[in-house]
Amino acid sequence: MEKYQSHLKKTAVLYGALFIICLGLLVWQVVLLGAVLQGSYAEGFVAGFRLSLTFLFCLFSAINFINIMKAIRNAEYRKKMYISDTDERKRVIEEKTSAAYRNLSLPMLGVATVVAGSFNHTVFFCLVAVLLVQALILMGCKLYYQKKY
Amino acid sequence: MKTHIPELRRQRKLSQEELAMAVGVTRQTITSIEVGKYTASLPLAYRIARYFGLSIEDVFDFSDVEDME
Repeated sequence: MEKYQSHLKKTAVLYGALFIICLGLLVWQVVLLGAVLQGSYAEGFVAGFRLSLTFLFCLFSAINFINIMKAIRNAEYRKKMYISDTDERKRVIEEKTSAAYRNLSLPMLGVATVVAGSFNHTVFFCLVAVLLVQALILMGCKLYYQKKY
Repeated sequence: MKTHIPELRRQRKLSQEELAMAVGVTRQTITSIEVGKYTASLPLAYRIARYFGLSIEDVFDFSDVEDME
């Protein structure tokens, strides 16, 4: 459990740093927002998306930081968090979910790429790039785990 | 896989939550094992059996595995 506590301390530092970075980015984007809103609809949409994503990261890191600090201070809560983090059924669910997602998303992306090729070349090349990157990540992971096990 | 965990718990007046905390898993994992939706890993099966002071074969029913031979 002491090893887990030191892992929690390191994670708390990481989440704290992430929160500060995201907060900085958030303030910077809010300052810039006035100028962006003078531009086109697309520019405003992109700025809004970026702002929402940064806000979500900020919220995510703050919630995790608070939770971890609570676990560091409270032994009972820490044990519950450890059990939840290391629960084998949860891991199986995550592995199965990832496998199902991969098996569905890659063929669907392939179909979408073929269909997009008939309508818009920019979208087609974007989807080809995404497909290639995903396939490379998949192959890299497969090679890594074949060596590991 | 069938298990004798519900009977063993009842005999010892133990809740799923208490057993889960003792063997280091969530209550949902114990529920899934009891209803046969999830098969425990070997280390977890060992921890559960050790907790009840029994062997793995006394806690888990391996008749399905034997039928496959």
